[in-house]
Amino acid sequence: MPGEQNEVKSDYTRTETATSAGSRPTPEPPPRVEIEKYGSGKPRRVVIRARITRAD
Amino acid sequence: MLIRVRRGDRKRVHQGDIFRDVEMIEYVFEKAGALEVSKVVFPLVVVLTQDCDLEQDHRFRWALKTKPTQDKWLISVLVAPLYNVEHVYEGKHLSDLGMTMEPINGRSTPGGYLRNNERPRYHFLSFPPSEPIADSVVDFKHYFSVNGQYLRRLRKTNFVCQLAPLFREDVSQRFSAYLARIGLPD
Repeated sequence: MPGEQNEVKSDYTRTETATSAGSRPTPEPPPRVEIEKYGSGKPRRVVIRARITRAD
Repeated sequence: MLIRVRRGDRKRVHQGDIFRDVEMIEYVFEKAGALEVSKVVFPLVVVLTQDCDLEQDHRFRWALKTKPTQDKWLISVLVAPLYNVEHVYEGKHLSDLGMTMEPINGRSTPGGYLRNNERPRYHFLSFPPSEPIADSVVDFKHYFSVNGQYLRRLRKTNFVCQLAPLFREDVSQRFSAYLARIGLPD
């Protein structure tokens, strides 16, 4: 009703540590991602040895 | 100068395509049942074969209608390796193969000649930062051939990017000029 003070009920207590809209914590910078580039390596040799067996 | 690349289509191999981890068979030896295969795996190679030849090979080899001849089929595809320019400066780009190459001072005039493509043997490629390839040098002296079917299979997994028109013709034209050079006696 007009003129009445509406009691705001809440189930929590506002504390001194609550922050206001103007002082949000500074967000952490995004993690730096190192993109590995192709062509960083060198040519390499691979030797394969095997024994050929004949089926009986 | 930064070169331009494009994603390219994966339908066939194109001149200027860059593939990673391409194998070159050095030798196959078999004696008395013992088999030995030596292969070199190159981190990056660029396709040098003329694009019209690649297009014809693809069209005639994979046509729905069987052609009467295999006249347009390629036996192999020419490629050349790309080496990391920092390794080339030190002459150590083939150190894992036990080879020492002539160093090139990257901070003085020889390095400038290399990067300006004033050395006929080499072609310097500086990729945009958005591309996952380090600045590289093509060594025309180290060209080799790979089986076309093998390269076709690699398209799905090992294709990196494609040099854009003009940039790929630049590589092709310089490679042709290098092969056609005349070595005069002293």
